[in-house]
Amino acid sequence: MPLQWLLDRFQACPRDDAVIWRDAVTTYGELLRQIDAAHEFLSAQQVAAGESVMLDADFSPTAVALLIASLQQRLLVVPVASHVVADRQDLARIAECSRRFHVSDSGSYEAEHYPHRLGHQFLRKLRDAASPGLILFSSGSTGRPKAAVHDFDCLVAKFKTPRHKQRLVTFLLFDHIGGFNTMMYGLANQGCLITLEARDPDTVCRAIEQHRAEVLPTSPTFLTLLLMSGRLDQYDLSSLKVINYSTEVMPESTLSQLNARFPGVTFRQSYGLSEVGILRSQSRANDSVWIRVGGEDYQTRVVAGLLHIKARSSMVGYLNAPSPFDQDGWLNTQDEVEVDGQWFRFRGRQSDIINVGGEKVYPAEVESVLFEVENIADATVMKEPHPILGNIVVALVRLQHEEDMKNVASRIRKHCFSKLPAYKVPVKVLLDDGQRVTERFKKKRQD
Amino acid sequence: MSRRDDLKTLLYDCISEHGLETNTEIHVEDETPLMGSGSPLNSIGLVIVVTNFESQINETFGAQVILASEQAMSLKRSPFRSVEALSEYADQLLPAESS
Repeated sequence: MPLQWLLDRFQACPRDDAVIWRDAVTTYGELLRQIDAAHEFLSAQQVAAGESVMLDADFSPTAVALLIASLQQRLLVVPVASHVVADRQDLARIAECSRRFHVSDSGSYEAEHYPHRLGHQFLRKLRDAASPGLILFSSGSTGRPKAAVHDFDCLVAKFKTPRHKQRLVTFLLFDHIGGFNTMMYGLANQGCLITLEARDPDTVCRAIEQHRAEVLPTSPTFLTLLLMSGRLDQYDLSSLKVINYSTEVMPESTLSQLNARFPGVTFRQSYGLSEVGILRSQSRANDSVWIRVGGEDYQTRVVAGLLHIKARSSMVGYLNAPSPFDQDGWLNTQDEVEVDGQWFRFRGRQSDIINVGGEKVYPAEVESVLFEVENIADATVMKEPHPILGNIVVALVRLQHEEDMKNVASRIRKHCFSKLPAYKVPVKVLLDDGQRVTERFKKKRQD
Repeated sequence: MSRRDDLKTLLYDCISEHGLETNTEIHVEDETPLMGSGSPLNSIGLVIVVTNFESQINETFGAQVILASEQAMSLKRSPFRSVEALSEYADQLLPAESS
């Protein structure tokens, strides 16, 4: 049965903490019993190997157990984070799900049937090969969500290599490649998953303090919110050893503030995509945004300034979009990078880059300078079409305390003109309405 | 003072504000061009000044004027040819004075 190696590891440490959910501990021994119960549920449901099923859940122990049991029964699993607003019917149609499983508040399983049958060649291929599958929807912050189909065996192979046993906060969501990675890393190394009921600074800090979390995998946007919250001094966060940040470009000014606020904590940037998984990475230094990515299963190259990746764990393909791979299996990530030997510095997604009169502006670079301006709590840089320059740079800012926006704009531009070439200086400075963060704690740079 | 003079004053303020932001002294007169050779503003400077001027006008007059538009760019006589011309153009875009 698939994943037997994982269950063997659980069996070796039955008394250790596996998952903390709503402050209650589930040990590995208990998790094994829940996996047995999940198998019984699947048998009672008469689910056949190769069926596509939606798992609408969070990181509760019962949900983790059902996920593991489903993969062991060679199902094609479509995780959807329960609090994420998404049209389940639409996702089910795209992923050809025959049912949706949901974990109720009391921890019991509930099932709903869908009329869909497997038709897509990628899904049939997995079913015919008796391989469990994982279908991940891209977050869809721009355009429609794309369904990436993974052969689970390829995706999970790297977790067989034993690494550190750690207590990790499951900040990234259940249906996100980063969340999946946190979960697999934690469980494969007999570590503990510390789950969150909400993802605001207080809830996260309380969970770290109460459950002595060692690793916080998160996003630069959340770390900015955390600094802004002024709540850091209220909690004992001394258990933290590693803060892993991913998914967006980290402003250098934020990173240096974080280093000052978390002495002794290792800051590590990671890099991954739903299409290829999470690459192993190493930051050049704690306060450096230069990273080395790769690992035994990944090859990288830079073409015309854009990072390309070839991975053994690459998805089989999208269900509802053309293949993003070239004929040799390389994926153009559309992420612009600067290169220094083996080190990369991520400049931004190509679609986020602003072309001002033929010059390129990287939003993250401007945001980093905006953070240096007094009374700026948060900043998001976007583009706006302009008849003279093609596009202009627009800054949306949140303030620490109230101030006349004319003053704010003037102070911002004065500082930017002293730090940046003129074309990178925000032409418009607007007050942020506080809605610029997605439910996945990424900046929204497009409407 | 006429509305056009008020507008011109607003534009002068926006230009000197831009001078403060860039830490440069910008000397302009009514006939100083805002674009091309002879203009003290580069293209970004022009766009910042015009955008600011636009928002000042809209705030002061409760209007929704757009100064930098395809239409403005395609006029035979560019409204950006001088301080005077841009003030006049803004005045034309505003609804006719009721009083």
